[in-house]
Amino acid sequence: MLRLENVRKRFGDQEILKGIDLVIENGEVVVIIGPSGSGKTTLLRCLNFLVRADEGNLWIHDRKVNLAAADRKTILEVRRSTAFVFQNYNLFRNKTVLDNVTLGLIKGRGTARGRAEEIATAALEQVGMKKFMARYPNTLSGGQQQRVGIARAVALNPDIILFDEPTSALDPEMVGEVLDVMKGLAGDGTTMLIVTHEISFAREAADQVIFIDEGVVAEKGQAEEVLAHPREERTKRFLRRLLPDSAA
Amino acid sequence: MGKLFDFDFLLEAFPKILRYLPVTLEITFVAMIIGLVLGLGIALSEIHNIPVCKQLGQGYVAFIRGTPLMVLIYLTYFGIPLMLESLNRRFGTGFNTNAIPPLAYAFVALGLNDAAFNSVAIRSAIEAVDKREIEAAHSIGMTALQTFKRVIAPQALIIAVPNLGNQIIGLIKGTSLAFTVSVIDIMASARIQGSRGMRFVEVYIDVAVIYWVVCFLTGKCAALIERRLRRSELTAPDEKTLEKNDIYERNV
Ligand SMILES: Nc1ncnc2c1ncn2[C@@H]1O[C@H](COP(=O)(O)OP(=O)(O)OP(=O)(O)O)[C@@H](O)[C@H]1O
Ligand SMILES: [Mg+2]
Repeated sequence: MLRLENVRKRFGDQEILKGIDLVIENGEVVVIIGPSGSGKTTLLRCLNFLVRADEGNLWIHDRKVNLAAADRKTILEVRRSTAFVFQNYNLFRNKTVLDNVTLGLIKGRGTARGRAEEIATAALEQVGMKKFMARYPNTLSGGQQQRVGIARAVALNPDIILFDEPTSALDPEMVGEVLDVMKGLAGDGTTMLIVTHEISFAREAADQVIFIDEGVVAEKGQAEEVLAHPREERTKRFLRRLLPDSAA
Repeated sequence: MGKLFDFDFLLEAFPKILRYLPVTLEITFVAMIIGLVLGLGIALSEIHNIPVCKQLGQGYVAFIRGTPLMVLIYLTYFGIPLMLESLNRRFGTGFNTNAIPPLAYAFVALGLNDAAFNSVAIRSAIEAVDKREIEAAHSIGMTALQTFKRVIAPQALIIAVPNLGNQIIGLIKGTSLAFTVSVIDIMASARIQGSRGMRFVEVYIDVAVIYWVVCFLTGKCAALIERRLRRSELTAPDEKTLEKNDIYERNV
């Protein structure tokens, strides 16, 4: 189980996260939705210390980590039990696909190269990118790059994978291949926290949906419940804008 | 009346001048190492905002940028013995300032000069590395040092190579001032040959040709290195051959 408690973050005089709480069970897929600028990315980044929260706690492995005050060693430990899939893939451009995936294993986890390559090959196979493992990222399509990004995260076998709008930068015809990979992971019981605007994906794959608006959790619950029968007015408005022709 | 231009003299002097090329190359090499190490240090202290070091570095770069190389050479030539002498007086140390070989002044002056310009090139190269890749490295649990070694440095190097190549070419040309502190390099040797035969155009053509060839080759080397480093941005290996062999080339 992973739990966030009272996460707060301000940039300048703007309060972006105003005390976020959430609980993610092992094997659960949690989707975060919300308007642009509501703080979704900031929340994921705080969890992984890419941004330093002003306040808040993270429970991971029954261990309490202070997001605002953790030391370097703790940060490294949290990062080594989580993984991040970025909107713009963020692959290492000077490394082959295989090396992109093994780097975290070898350097971050201290895995021996041979073993790391086995794990990486399996992860690439899982996302359908094994035959591209000698390629460099800039020779791949966006969808292929993002699948490598997912393999890089999966190979680390983290407690949770954080996805920040993994399909937003993709051409529409490539969105499906990435979502399919993610559905596969969900089926395998991977714990995932996903920020996305893909409502139909959320409906299909998510256990829990959280609607964040202006830095607070405005509504949360079972995916079907929140997406099909939202209680809050702002959730309804958001979903109506996202799916103009839906009944929501 | 004698000849205006003596081509035979030019040819005879050439090997005599060329014999001192190793000295020129030695100054270049040592000053380059000093320049790279110190330049990297200054660049890192600025990027990481290390107090005191950063300000010292910035002041240093500003000072060097506004100081002609010739002045810097004289400053080291006269300044270093002065400093050592004052240490001798204050602490009773026994530095023998006369024992300092002229080459040492050339190393120091050119190295210090090079460091300032390198630091600018190195810093902008490091800052040009995509921040998103750095975040990705952090997200997979790499330490700051690992990130620097594996992600930042290799890419910054590619970006910096053309600039550093030009820097080295400047350095090679700068060594031609070392004769002012009585280093015998190709320039000094040309001057000696010239006054011996009272023919100067000939020897300076010789020395110009040598500088030109060395700089040309240096430029070629830099371009070659850059191309090799950039191979990751070249086209992908042929899919078919890959599948057939089921092997992959590794960038070691
Ligand atoms: N490093 C930063 N410095 C200053 N302001 C920032 C920074 N990062 C984010 N913000 C601000 O915080 C707010 C929330 O940003 P965030 O990226 O978390 O939103 P989001 O919910 O992910 O939006 P989107 O759906 O557009 O990705 C925005 O107003 C943004 O301008
Ligand atoms: Mg975002």
